Amino acid sequence: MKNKILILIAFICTLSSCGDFETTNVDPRQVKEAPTRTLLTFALQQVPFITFNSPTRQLTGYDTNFMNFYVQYLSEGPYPGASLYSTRNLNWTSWYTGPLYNLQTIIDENTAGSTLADPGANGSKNNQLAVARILKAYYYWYLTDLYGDIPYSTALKGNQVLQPTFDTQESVYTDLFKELTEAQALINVSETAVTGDILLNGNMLSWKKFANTIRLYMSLRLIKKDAAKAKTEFNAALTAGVLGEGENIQFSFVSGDPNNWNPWYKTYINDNRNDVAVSSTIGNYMLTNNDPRIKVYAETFNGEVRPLPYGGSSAVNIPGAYSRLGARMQAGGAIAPIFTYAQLLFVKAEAAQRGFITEDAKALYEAGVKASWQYWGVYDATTLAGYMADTDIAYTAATGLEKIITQKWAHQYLNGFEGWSDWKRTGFPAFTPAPGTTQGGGIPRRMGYPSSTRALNEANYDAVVARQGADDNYTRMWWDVK
Amino acid sequence: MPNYYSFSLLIMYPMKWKLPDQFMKILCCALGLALLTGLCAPHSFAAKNYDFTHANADVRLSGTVTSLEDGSALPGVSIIVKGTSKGTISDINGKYELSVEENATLVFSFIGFATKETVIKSQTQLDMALVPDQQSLKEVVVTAMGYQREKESLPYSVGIVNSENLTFAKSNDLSTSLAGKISGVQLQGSPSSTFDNGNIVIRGGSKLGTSTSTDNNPIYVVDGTVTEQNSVIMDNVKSITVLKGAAASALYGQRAQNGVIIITTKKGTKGAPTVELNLSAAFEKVSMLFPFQDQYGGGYASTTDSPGTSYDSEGFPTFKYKSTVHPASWASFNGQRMLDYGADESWGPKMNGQLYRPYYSWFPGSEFGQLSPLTPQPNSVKNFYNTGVNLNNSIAFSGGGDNFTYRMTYANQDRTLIVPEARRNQHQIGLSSSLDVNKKLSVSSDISFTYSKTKGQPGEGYALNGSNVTQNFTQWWQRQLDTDRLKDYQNEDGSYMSWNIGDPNSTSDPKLYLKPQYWDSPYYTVQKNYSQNNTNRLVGNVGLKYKLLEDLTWQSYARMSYTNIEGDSRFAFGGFNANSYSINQSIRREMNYETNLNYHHAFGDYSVDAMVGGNIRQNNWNELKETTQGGLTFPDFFDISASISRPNVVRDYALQKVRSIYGRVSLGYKSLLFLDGTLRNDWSSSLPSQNNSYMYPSLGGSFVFSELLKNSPVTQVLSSGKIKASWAKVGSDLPPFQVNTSLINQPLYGSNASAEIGNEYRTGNVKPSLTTSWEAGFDVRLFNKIGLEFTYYQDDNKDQILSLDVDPTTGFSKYQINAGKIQRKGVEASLNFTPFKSDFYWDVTMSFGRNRSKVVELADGLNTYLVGTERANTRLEHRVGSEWGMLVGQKWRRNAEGRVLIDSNGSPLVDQNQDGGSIAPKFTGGLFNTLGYKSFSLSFSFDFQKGGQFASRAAVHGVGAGQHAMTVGVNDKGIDWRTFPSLGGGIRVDGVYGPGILINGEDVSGRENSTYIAASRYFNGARQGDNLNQNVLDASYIKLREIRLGYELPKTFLSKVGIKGANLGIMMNNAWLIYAPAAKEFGIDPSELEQYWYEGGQLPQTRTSGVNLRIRF
Repeated sequence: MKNKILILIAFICTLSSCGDFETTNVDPRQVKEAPTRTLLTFALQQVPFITFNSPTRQLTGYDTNFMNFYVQYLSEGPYPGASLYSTRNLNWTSWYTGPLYNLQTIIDENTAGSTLADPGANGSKNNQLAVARILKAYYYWYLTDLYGDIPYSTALKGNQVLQPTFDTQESVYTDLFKELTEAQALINVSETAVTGDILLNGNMLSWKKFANTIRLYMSLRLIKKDAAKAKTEFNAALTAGVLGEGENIQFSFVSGDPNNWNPWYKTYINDNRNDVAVSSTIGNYMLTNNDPRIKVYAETFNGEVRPLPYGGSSAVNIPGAYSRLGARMQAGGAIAPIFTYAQLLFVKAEAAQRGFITEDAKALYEAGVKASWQYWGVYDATTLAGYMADTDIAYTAATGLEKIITQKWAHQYLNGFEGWSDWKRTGFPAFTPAPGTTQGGGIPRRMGYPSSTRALNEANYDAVVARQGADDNYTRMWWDVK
Repeated sequence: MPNYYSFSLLIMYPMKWKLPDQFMKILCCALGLALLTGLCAPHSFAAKNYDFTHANADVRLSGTVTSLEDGSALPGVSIIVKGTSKGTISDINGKYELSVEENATLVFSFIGFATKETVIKSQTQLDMALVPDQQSLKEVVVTAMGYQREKESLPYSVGIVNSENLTFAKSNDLSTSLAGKISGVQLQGSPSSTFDNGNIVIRGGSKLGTSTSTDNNPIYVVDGTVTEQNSVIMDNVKSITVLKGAAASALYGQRAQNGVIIITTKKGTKGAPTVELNLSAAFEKVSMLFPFQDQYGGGYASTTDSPGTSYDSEGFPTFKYKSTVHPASWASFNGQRMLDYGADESWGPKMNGQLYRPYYSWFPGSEFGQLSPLTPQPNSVKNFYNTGVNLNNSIAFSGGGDNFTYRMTYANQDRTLIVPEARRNQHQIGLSSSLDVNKKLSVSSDISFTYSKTKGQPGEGYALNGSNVTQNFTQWWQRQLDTDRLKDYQNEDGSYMSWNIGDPNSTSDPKLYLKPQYWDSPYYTVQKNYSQNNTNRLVGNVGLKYKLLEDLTWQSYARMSYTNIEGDSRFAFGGFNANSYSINQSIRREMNYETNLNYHHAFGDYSVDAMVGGNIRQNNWNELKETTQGGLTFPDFFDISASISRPNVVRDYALQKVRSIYGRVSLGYKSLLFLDGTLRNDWSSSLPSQNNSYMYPSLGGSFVFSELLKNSPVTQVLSSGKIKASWAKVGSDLPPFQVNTSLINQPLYGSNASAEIGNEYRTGNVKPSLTTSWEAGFDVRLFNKIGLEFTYYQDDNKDQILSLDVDPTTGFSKYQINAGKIQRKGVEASLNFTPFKSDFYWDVTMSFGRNRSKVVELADGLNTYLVGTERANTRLEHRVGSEWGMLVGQKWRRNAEGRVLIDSNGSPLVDQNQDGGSIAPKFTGGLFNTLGYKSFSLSFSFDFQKGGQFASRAAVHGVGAGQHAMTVGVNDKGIDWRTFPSLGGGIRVDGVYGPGILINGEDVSGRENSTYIAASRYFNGARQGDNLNQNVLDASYIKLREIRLGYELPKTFLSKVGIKGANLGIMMNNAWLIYAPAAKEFGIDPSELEQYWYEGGQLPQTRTSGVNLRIRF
């Protein structure tokens, strides 16, 4: 009898497997459709890393911390490497395959009129296209300033172009100016605002300002290459509308949500890494002048800030001995500045100093320092007045540019991207390269292309190296002229 | 009758059946009909008598069984009373005794001899001479789908190992136990000091591996059921057949592309019940360690050029009392020598017994403030490891009557490792039985269940969280540390003590300076931060066999392989890592429903052996992992609900169905010529619906030329000989859910959903891939003593489904494509030699395999497939035109004369993207010996590998952090190179300044290098620039893997206590690594790599020695 039962069971089991394949190959863990607003949210989650340089040990691919060493905000402790300018062929995979391709998809879905871009749920077509194009320009701006020539016009085309060509930085800049101009003009505040906007919460006017601010900053990059164009673009951007007084564009990390934590929090609390401390370059600059911002930027020991000497090749341990990041900077739900009003004032001060605009450079500079103290929550009129009176800080016509750029650098802590670009185009702050560096060239001027580039895109790689120069960290890109 | 004719029709015209579902429904119905026929057939099997009694035993019978051929005694002959389970087995001298009823029929059966039946009258003595059965003397091999074939008739190469040769030294690991025993099989072992299994690769790599080695591993089939190798009860293995090539494995379909390991378990035999006990106790000891230096303690002194303000001239940092930082009571410490406690490197001062403040002297308590001498601790690491104990016991009951057999097994393994706190307890039960229900219908079942509980599985690889204590010792350690002292890691206030603390110079706040920098005490790690898991594995089948006609049999099986693992891991409060807890659960299940018809018939000199069948396979995976984030609400309350932030939840899920029909025809002419053909069609759910059906054939033949030479004098030399050749294609699909570009649901932000377009571009139209392969060879036997098998093979693995790396600026980092061609060519040879075959016997088997895998093409414009990147830019790449598995990376730049070119700072210039060697071995093989004299037997096996490379982190960091013996020495001025360069130490790299190098504005290119760099800058920095030469190691080895000396206890004594036989042995596993450059230089056993092309923190090799007692009742 037992055998009969066994046979019967086998028989039933066999019959039950006779269904078809229809749903077998559908992964229940993947969404079937991604509305454009969800693609936008993801594209925005990567925004802060460009201006709030941080190690991303687990969110691999968005590591921008190396720039903090180039502009000497941070020093390395036990494993000196990046601060000694170790050769860097920086991977760009995540930027292209992550936010950039997401944004391209938003543009494609809107252009095709796909239901996934439904204006009711995702924002009007004009507004969606505008935001996607602005953000795309933002990321490309970052990439071209890192590498020089980059794949641009034939990039993001999937299997249609498997080996994209490299566009010159000049043509990338030209197109980015055009994109930003067109995109901000496309914005229609009377139409439905974009949704999924975790940066500006659908404020379309802010998106206009976001675009114009990028243009403003980009124009100053051209100072040495094409001053006339720099001036034209600068004024056009200013006219189109930038941040107003006290206005800042910022990204909020989420405390309590490991997936949206400030990467510095993750580094300290989750990963227990204490590899970097506040650099003596910024530390001593600020301590010498009793700048209260340093206590926001740096950890204190009984009120004492202990910067780590910059650029030594010896290994040292940090905790307890040297100041790591300050509490505000390392909080899980920290606020990462993208563009700040104080920064804008320094940018305008520089433009005034150069005669691009007719405002008073000194007044703009002083307003910039004040706005910075306010931004970092240390403003006190008397203290500031004393600070501004110091000869190191006080504005003079002869040292105007140096003062402006140095204070801009002191303000935009952890924004190595902006500081590094400023240093390349103005030479300020006048950094001393790391004493322990093994690189004869000193502070790097560009990133090498990802090490896999030649293997994957040989002909175009060889062509760009022939055109732009050796693929190392010292070849000067188009706008970075001596 | 079942409508088997429709089966045949279907097999003949499979292409007509566009709709597999329709076909499968019909198949199911046919199966149903057949089953019903079988069920309803009026066979009165219930009335059958089973005689388990011993009534009326009125004749006491004894005798001797001999071979008619040479009169020699035959031990182990089964003698049973027909129709009952009663019986016995002849002893070593061929003698037997039995009580039987009168007129009973005795059946004598023995493998290799014709079975003989005799009716008992009243005699008490019955000697029996058995006639050798020529037919059955031929070697029988279990082949695909469990078919037993004569080896002579096979057109392809297979490898066979029987149980005596497989498990004689009680290896725990199936793959490792195969090492060196089969030609063309390469072992990718696992460290002998873990619970992990090794893996094997047959005939070398043929795929563009992604991240794991498993892409090139074979499948394991136990009694017809595909399962995991650790589901096997080792003492139950009867034999292993290794199907190597595509022709051999074509019937298993796509999964058999990398070969098949067929495991046949022991079954009960008809006759008297036997009980087998197999007991062993073994001890595992560290047999090899990293070659440490024992002269310098922890610190960073040798990272700098001069003492500066940080160090005294001997490299000690000193305590500098500051009244603003330290309490007044510390004033007396001023000037005391310390170490860089926070350093996890050994670039500190020379250990000359100088008094200094050890780390524990800074913890509050009785030792606070004490100075101790700085002395070497050469045995510190060795003393950390325990002696592991491995108790491995099994008992099996087996027997059977004339219509049933059974074998029941219980096996238990209790094993501790050399790493403290690691323990596994494993219980296995197995049942294998068969029943002839009636003359036509028989049913059978093989089931084994494994439960294992593991606690404290040692951390492996390069672990940033400090869980691999061996990595701690070899890479990030301070050589003056005494592990005995580290046992005592709990402070009086309950907090924990790490050796790797901060700097008391900068603060006197114990919360700050006593905090671990990177590491806890290794004892803390193994005792507090452990993981555990419970694993349940079930593998089994239920099958029936129905004899439809004399020559036609129908078989049907339901098979299951099921694994359920649940476990957790934790980081305790108060250590280096944040307090956290994670749980994991996984279920893997594979079901197979298989039905087939077999036809076997001889027409005069011609024979036909044919089979058609169908199979439905369903694979399910389900995994869930949850990890707390941001710490635990109550310290050391280990539960997911204690997560301070939202816990991280990862779910893995997959489902796949494959339906298949297949057939095989084997034609034979006399014993001279055999032809074999197979055809299989698969429908896979994981392929696009328009491409989900694929068919593939195989053809082969063998020609036993020695049959033509019968009666010729040649046979004096050539006992037998055949040539064989085969050709096959094997199709392959891809894992589930990979047809279309995915949309990844990313972690949301607030209430905003977030999605990313997947990073692999997929066209939605991928096709199954086909591998074509052929092989040819010969088997000869000379003087009836020497057997030689030789095979040449070539595979073309074309149009693989590749996840190809593409330039990420396309928006995608991978592109799914049918492309590429990997060609595998190789030879395999095995030689068996039996020089002696009497009281003294000696049997030796040698195996040899040489494989060359070459990447012929990838895709248009793409010449490189990147597998992965290791430390110091060393990458594993498959490159067009090169050997499979090339290592690529950096080397020192050299001029035309081969001199190293030096930068202005004294370090060599570095060239990227240089070629290293391949990870694939040049050849592999082994040597297996059994010797014996009377009651003594000796078995031992060697295996070896020549060539193949791997990247080593022990070499990179163990040297870079100053732990390795090579980091001690003198420079070309005769001064200790660990001395500060400013004091005459340091290392000058032998080379000349490179072109254009300026020093103080002067062009020094071409001049002899004169810059001395600090020792650490050389060993950690410069040396990594030459990574391919310095830190990529040769994987060659020769190993005496297993050895067992056995003694057969005297029967005369044993029979008095009812024991039929007993063998006592002493054995040793991993006995002697005779040769291995990597072992000599870095203490790494290349046959035990944790990963197939690199090691990140290799656990030590162990040697296991013990005793083994096998008893048969």
